[in-house]
Amino acid sequence: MSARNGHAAPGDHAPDNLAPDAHAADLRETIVIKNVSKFYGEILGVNRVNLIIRPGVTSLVGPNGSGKTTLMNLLSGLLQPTRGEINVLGVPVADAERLGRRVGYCTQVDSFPSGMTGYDFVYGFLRVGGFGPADAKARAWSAIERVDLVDAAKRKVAGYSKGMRQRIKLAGAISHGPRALILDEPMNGLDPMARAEMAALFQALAAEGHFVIVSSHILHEVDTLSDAVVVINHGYVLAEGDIHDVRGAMDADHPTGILIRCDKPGLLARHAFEYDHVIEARLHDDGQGLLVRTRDAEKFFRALGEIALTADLTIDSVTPADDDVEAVYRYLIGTSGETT
Amino acid sequence: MSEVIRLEGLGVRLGGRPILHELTVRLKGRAVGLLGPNGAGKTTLVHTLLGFHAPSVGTAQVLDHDIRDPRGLKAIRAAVGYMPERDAFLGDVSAIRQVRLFAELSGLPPKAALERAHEALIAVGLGEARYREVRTYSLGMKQRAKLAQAIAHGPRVLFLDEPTNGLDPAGRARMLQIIAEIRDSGVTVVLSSHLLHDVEQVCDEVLVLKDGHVALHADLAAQRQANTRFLDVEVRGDRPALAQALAAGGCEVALHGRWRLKVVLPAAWGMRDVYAAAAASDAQVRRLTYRRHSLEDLFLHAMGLPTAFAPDVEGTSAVPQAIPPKEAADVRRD
Amino acid sequence: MSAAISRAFQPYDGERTSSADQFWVIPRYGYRELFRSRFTLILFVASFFFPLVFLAAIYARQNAQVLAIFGQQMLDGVKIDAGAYIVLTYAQSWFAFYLALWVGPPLLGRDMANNGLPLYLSRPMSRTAYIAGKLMVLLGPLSIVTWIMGVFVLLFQGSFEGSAWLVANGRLFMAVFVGSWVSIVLYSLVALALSALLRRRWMARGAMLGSLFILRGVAGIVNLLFNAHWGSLLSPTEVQVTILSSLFGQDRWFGALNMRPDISAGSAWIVFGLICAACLAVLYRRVRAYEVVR
Repeated sequence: MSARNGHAAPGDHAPDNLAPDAHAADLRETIVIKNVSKFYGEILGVNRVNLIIRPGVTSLVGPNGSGKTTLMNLLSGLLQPTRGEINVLGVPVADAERLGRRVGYCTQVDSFPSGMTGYDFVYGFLRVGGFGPADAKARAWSAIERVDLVDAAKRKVAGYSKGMRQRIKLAGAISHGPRALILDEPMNGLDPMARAEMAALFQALAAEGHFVIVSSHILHEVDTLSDAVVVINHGYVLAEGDIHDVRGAMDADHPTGILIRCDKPGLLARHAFEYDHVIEARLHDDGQGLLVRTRDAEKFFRALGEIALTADLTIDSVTPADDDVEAVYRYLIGTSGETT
Repeated sequence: MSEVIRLEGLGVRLGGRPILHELTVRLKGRAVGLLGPNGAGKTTLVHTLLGFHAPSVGTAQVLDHDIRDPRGLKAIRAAVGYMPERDAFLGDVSAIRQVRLFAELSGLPPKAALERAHEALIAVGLGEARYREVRTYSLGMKQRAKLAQAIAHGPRVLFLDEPTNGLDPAGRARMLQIIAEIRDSGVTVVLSSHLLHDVEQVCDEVLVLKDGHVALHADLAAQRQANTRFLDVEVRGDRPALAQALAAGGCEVALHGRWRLKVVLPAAWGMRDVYAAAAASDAQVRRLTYRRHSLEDLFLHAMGLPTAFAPDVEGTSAVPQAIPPKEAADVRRD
Repeated sequence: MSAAISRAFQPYDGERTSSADQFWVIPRYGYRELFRSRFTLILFVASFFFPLVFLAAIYARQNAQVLAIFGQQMLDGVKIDAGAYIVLTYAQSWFAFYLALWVGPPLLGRDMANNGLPLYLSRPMSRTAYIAGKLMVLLGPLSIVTWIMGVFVLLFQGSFEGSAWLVANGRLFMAVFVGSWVSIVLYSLVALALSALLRRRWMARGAMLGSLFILRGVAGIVNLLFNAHWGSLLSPTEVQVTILSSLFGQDRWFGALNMRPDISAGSAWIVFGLICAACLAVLYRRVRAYEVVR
């Protein structure tokens, strides 16, 4: 790896999941976390994390106290790793000024100076960041427009509802045009419509090539919204990547379950067992469905497609029993809930 | 099932302004979801039923007691449990001490209160921690302690305001499971939440408020009886091609999420035809379900916002309101 | 396990307590918490000091041996009469003040610090019952420290002096009783009102202590500036002394000092009433199940 732009290239070992022929050019398009640990004295924040984050929506999930906030603080440069390196779009996190231009951080902190209006908040933030008055004004309004708070911008933040406060914080985070956004539970307190709007905004930003890193507890939202998921617990990353790939990788220990409702479940079972990745087929209680467990979801769905077209039965519905973030979370972290 | 909560032209003014406008609704479900944007009046409604505000117009009955009658109000409060949205606890008092205090205040004799307090705390999963002071609890534990004080006196109706607030996924799953068990024990649950998914999971009736009016009152149980041509399809592979193939065959298609499609089948089509289209388009079908209007569709429709498909409002009593333009001036918290 | 769970959630069908029983729940729990703090116990025990001194003095005057040692002069010197009892009542009222200051704020502070009020008020109890219940917790200890001890000392003296003395000094009983209740009501309401306003117990305590002394100073300044006496109406201590003096019909403390400020008893009672009314107004406003946000 060669030095580039005067900063030291990430060490001698490439992170495990970077292809050997990846080179520095790629680094400007990714966020690389290499062997990072963070301790607060004796207390563990995160432990030997290796991650590559690509443009798109990446969700961080994990129990309270699992290291999500530590990770976000590390990515935004608020904390420095105890060990390891982090490179955000080619900038090491030690370089605060350059990092600040590339990263927008929206924390859970919910307090604002009294008397401040929404516009003041965003404008002030920009001015402090070094933008001139005219530039700051234009960017501020543009950000406020994006979060749909134009009517309320000139009112005091103290009078905002929780949802509006979340949105003005988001405006602040995007106002200086960073490529990467790090958002700590941004939808907290939002009503369903505002949630949908914010989700749409994230997807729009992702489509434009931004990195949108979001932490959330609402797993079914994570499912529909994210391109990639990072599951973290006790400071360790337990899984990361596209959720279905992650789920697929877990097939060996947790065979995928799929519920198929059809008019002839017995016949379907006979066909299913012709494939040796199918390890279990169970008649559903009402006799109208079959619960299949397979070691290879990919192959099974392909097989099912063929069965649907060739066999003498009518498929009514197909429902994966556990092919989502919720299931992955349950398998990896469980419902022990030791932290809450 | 008899009506648990009846609103009869209920209007409430606060600070000189009308918050609720003459609501008339009868709620009979086992579990009712209370939804609406911020400022719609959900919290005010719950507070009015608890007697924190007097109505300015009309009245309401909970369990056949009238809220305008002082004795009725006392009877309501004795039979009702309330879990407020914000943190609510007595800091330097142990969980068992506070739960039994509140149970006694709700009318239970001291011994019964102590027994039920222990049962409630164990049932919500705070068995080991119940002798500790509540200020030492984590957020999830505080939420559960709040729930315990709401149920220890054995209410018939339970008002829950954002009960999964701040909980991590395991905590949320547990909380919803407990709430479902409460519902199954014969207690009427009124769940106010912003998370449609929670409401969909627990409730069989929804009341959607907007600007102090009823925007929708629907029986979800009836909605769930599948009988429609709406499909929810999830694929891998060439989704656009599949969408085209379906459209070419006469389906209405809408893309949704990363891998999903909402499809309305024409009369002549069956599932096999969907699979055929998938095979032809090099797409692999991963999920195929009849999509009864999800709560999200109903909610968006009630808000006057576009949804992929306009739900047929059979089985609902939607009162279409002239929806005012989206007000960022809607700052008023209720 | 599921049997236990469903039992816990089932609606309660058993016997229910009456409103009166429910009223006493708060005082009962309050008394349980009362002596949790060691300082409360210390204050309480310390408040026995002056009554004990009085009891000793009363006994000494009757005891021949003691008289033999100290002589008749002491008999004349240490007179236990109205002038003495007014001092006792006043001294005990200070103990009542410090007890109220110590015990009062946590009563409300504990409930308000973490938004516990909705949990109370969503139950079949009115705000009045809640406030009255909290007041009950203060009334017990404050009564013991003030009129109960005072009346006990009076009875003790009466047991030596005879029933004629008791009848002649009936006014003393009334004065001790009413004078004590003035302190009890005043300090309880002020302590609770301040803790409802300020929420944090130490802030309420500080405000209670500070306001007493500050108002005294202000009263003095006003009197000086306007060359008048009505400034004393601003100071609760002066108001209380005036009321006590009028109740005992007695200007002289220990027969010697004239402590009475130059304001009429009537105006002192009115000020007392106004302070109590203001405290109740504050309490009713602040004890709410929700915060109204404009």
